[in-house]
Amino acid sequence: MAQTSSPFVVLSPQPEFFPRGGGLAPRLEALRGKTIAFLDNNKLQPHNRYFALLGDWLKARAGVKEVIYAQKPFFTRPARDEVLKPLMAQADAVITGLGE
Amino acid sequence: MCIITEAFLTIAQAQQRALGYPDLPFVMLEHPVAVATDTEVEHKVAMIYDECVEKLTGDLQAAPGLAAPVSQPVAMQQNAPHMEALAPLRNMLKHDGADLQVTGLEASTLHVQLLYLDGVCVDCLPEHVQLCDMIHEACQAAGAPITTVLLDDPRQP
Repeated sequence: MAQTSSPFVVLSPQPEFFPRGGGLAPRLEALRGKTIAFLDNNKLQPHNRYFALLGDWLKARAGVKEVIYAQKPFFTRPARDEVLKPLMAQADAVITGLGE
Repeated sequence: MCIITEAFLTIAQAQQRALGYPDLPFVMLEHPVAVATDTEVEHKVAMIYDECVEKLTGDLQAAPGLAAPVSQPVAMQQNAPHMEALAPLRNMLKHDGADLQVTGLEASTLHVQLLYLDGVCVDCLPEHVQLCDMIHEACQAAGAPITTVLLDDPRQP
């Protein structure tokens, strides 16, 4: 008895096109005297020791003037404007992260 | 700049592309991060400090006097699969206060650094040649085409 087969369709979950994001900020010429912000995704509890230590070292070793720590409301949620706007106004660079 | 852990490399790359920022720089921190002693946190931050400064400024010289255990910028994205292959061996070494860091890959030669953590038992560690063999076998078992392992070993003169 002959068997027939029909093609099956595999759907890719990827978008059909990838959006173009905005331009990346240029790298800083130096860290000395700059303000660096950490935007923590709030996944590490009770606080992000990695960002705290990295901030301390950037101040002590690289001459960073000020370190700002901010948090997303929850790690699956994007940061709101009230969190992002102060960073955009005050920080020369922002480091984001961190979860597992 | 983003800091991620090694385990999230694939997802981070997909997100970079999906969000339209394929060149967004990120630095990979050794996985896991949630459960760690203060010493382990310091060790992991030391391993990425140089690269963080580099990604922020493009100038490694901006980090004078750094006492990080790795002296060269690490091509983390390239090295991540090998770090993953070495995970069981690294876990074994950590019981004796040591760790491994992949510092480079040239063709089929893997550069690895043996790191001492606090409370290291040097006499408990596999001998240099034996450790090289173990690294080689771990890479081969993971399907990594490594033919030579160059181990930077503080026990070596």
